[in-house]
Formats: sequence, structure tokens, C-alpha cells
Amino acid sequence: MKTLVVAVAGLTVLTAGLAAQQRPRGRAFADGALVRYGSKLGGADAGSFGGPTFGVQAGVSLDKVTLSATYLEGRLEPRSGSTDTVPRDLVEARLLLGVQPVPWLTLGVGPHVRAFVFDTTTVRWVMWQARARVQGALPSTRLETYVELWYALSAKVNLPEPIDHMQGGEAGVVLRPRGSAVWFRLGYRVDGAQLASGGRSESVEAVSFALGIGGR
Amino acid sequence: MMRRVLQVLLVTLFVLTARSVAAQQSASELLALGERAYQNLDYDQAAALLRRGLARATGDTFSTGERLQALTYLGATELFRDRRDSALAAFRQIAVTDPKYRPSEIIFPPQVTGVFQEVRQQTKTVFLQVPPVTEFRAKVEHFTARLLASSPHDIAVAITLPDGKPVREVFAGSIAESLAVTWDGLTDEGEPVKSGRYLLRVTPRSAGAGRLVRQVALEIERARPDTQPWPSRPDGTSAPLHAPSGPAVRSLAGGLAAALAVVVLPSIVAQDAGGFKGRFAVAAAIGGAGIASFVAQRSRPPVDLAAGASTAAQAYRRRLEQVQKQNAQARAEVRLIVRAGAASVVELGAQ
Repeated sequence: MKTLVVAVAGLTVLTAGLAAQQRPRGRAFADGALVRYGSKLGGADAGSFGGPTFGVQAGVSLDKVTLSATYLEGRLEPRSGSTDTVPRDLVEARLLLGVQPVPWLTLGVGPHVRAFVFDTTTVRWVMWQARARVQGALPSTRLETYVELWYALSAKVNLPEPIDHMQGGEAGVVLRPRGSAVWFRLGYRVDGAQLASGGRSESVEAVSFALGIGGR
Repeated sequence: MMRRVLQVLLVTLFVLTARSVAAQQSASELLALGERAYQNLDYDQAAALLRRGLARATGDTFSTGERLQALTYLGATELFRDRRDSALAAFRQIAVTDPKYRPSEIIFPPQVTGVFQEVRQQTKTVFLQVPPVTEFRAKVEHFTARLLASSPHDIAVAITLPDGKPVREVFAGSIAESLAVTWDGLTDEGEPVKSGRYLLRVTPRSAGAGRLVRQVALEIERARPDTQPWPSRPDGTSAPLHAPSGPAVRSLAGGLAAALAVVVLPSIVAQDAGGFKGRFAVAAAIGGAGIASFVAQRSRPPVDLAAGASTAAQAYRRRLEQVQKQNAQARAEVRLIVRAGAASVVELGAQ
């Protein structure tokens, strides 16, 4: 049902954008991040990992509607003192349909898949996210700051315990040099998931640096 | 049904009109009979008729001139009936109503006109002539009221609050026949008056009861300064000469808010997260950007220096400075709109 609602909402805003008959604008960026992944069981550390990830994002905007796709992957190694010492790959993919009702606010919705790939198995998180992003330029500079929060409308994971809730956020600053289509972004993102058993939680944090072209 | 209502309305209108005409005729006839009785030296009859006529005469049916003439006949009649006090009272009413009125020396003998002059000399009051609406710049221009005196005397003219509390004394001295007093719109403290209701009050300075205070209600409004719009920039847009503080504060707030978000995000969305220390570097960078933007805004030059390079931009800058100067001057000036209301008389001895 949630999927249906989200799909209808997405189609609605996409139709509205197409109706505006504007020329589509493209954008793309490459993202490098230092990631920290942590898992806790009953409040105690059940594993702590870190490592770099690299990703790309491409998107197209039509008037106030944006459709973007993101992909990233990286290798997470156990950090010193981690009780879990099995390294894993982190792979994420996301599709987001966003609308910008006012210049300072962007609302979006879309699916997000996160996978921890082990040698023998893969733990896959699948969720539908609703995102709200507030952004604003800093006058007299070429800078723009943003804060983004998201909440999982629905989430599934192929673990014995189902997901209770999951949410995340991101904040950062974007620099667009004068007369250039290229921009840079420094940001921090974090998300947390609580599993229905009540005792297990997982979090992913990242400090990221992105180099992009086109819209932000 | 409608026809019946119409008939009732017509009958009512007819009765009201007939009553008004009857009252007018009656008062007119009484006064005419009173004047005829005076001329026939039947003073008792004249006094009775004139009093009844004056009692019936209303502002709607009688002009001020007709009323003053009837009062003159009444005063003269009472004088010849040896009722001097009643005569003085009638003449005093005239003096209070119109300072320029004089009894006809053809109709009335010198003993009547002489007593009238005495009364007029003793009646210390003034009449105010104020323009219905005056708009002027406080301190620079003036509001003017013209005073007509019943007789020479000392007066004090002041602007007061409705309760009589003085706001500004505008004149204190003697008035002969007439006088123009001006007020610059300031209070005693030298500040332009605020919008509100005031009184222009004229008080005789002589001691004793029965002094008549004339006052006119003034509705004073502070008009908005008449400023000019900013000139258009050479690029067709308009912008202020100095950067307003709003964007600078918004920059600072935006930067600091985003930096704070970076610091507190883990505790909001992932309470079990370890708290990546690297995020503080990101927070510092964002906060620093906000502060840098704030400083850049505050120390921004008066005009866009890039635009100042061209002749058009220099002309724009000169025009901008001129408009700014004129607007600052306009804002410094306070324009007052004074609307005069009804005049009234207060007898000090009666208070």
C-alpha cells in the first residue's frame, strides 16, 4: 500500500514537471566518503567498521521536478577493538524523485537499497525513503548550506529480525566557483536503524566530499 | 400592502413638513410682532414676544444674523424696561456669538448702542478661524489659526490634550481685534506631536469667573514620509547603496544552523552511532563559511565596485547617493496633517 501511495505521488509530481514543458537540465557528481559503520546489540558494540566509499550520482531536472540515481560502493574493514572482524563490502543504490515547491525546500521520495556483501552471503536493506531538504545560499559568497532529513516509509532486511524504524540526515556546504559549472560539496551524513527485536541497532556515518557538474 | 406603506410614509412626511413650516412661521411671526411692539414702545409685549420667538427659533429655521437682530431688539427692550441685567445678558449673547456684530445706529438709539459697546468691551472672548485641513512639515512650516477678539484683552493660546493637559503654549499676550497665531507642530520638549486628538485652546488671562474658553478639536495625523524609489541600476535591477543587515544575519544563521545540524545529527537520527569525529571538521567548515559570509556582507562596499568602473555605474551611484540623501531628509521631516473639528466654548467660572 505504501509503495502504491509513493508511486502515485511520484507520478503526480513527474507529470506536473512534464506539463511545465521546460528544457530538462542534467547534473552529475562523483562522491568520495569516509564511512563508519557500527552495530550494537543490547547497547554493547557488536562490530565497528570503517573505510572509503566512492560513488556517482546522475540526475535530470525538469522545472521543479528532479529524478536522480545514486550508486556507491566501498570496502569496510573492522576497526581496532571491533568484536566482529569480518570485512565486508558496502554497496548502495538509490532512486529519488524530488520536487522543489519553493527555492529553499526540496521534498523527495524513492527507493534505497543498501547491501553488506560478505564472501558467502549478502545482507540487503530495502527501504522507501521520504526526504526533506532545506537549502540556502550564503550571500556575498559562492557557498550554499543544506540540511536534509529522511525517514523510511517502509524498510525490509533479510535478517531474522524485522526493521522497526530507520531514519537519517545529512548536512553540508556546497561551493560553486564564479562562472563555473563545477561545484564541490563537503557533507556529513548519518543514518540509524532500530530492529524490531529492540536490542539491535545499526548506524552508518560518512564524511563525504563530492565534485559535481550541473545543478546541485 | 406596498401601497398602504407608501401612503403611511407620505402622510408622515407631510405631517413632519407641515410642523416644521408651522414652527418657522410661528417663530418668525413672533419675532416680527415683537419688533413691531418695540417700535410701538410696547416694551412688555415686545419682550414677551421676542423671548417666545427666540425660544422657538432653531438653527434650522433662523440664520445667525436674524437671531442676533432679535437679541438686539430684546436687549434694547429690556433696557427700556429698566431691566439692565436682562439687557446685558442679551447683548452678551451677541458678543459671544459674533465679535464683529454691531447694532444698527439707525434703528437703535445711542443709549442702546452705548450699552452694547460696554458689554462687548467687558466680554472677553475670541473667535477661532481654523482651516479645515492643514498639512505642513513640523518645525519647518506652520499651522496658522486666526483669532478675532470681542474686545482687547490678554489671552493664552495653547495646544492641549483632550483632557486639557498642555502640549505646547503657542501664544501668550494681548489681542486687540485680531491675531494670527502659528504653531510649528512641536511639543514643549521640541518633538513633533504624535498622531491623535488635540485641542487648540484660547483662554483669557484675566482673573475672575465667567471667562470663556474657546477651543477647536484638532485631529492630527503624522503623514508617512514622501520618499523616492531607488533608481534602477545600469543592469536594470534596483538595489540599495548599502547592503542591508538582513542577508548578513541570514548568512550567519544559515551557516551556524547547518554546522549545528552536523554536530547534533547523530543524536537525533542514530542515537547508537559512535559519533564520527570527522564531522566536527565538516561543522567547522560550514560554520566558518557562515561567519565568512556574514563578515563579507557587513564589510561590503557601498556599491558594486565592478559596476562602479563604468560611467553608467558612476552615474547610478551619484543618483543613488542623491536619492538616499533626499530620502534621509524626508524621513527626518515629520509631516503633520491637521483636521479641524467643531469649535466649542467652555465657561471657566462654570467649571
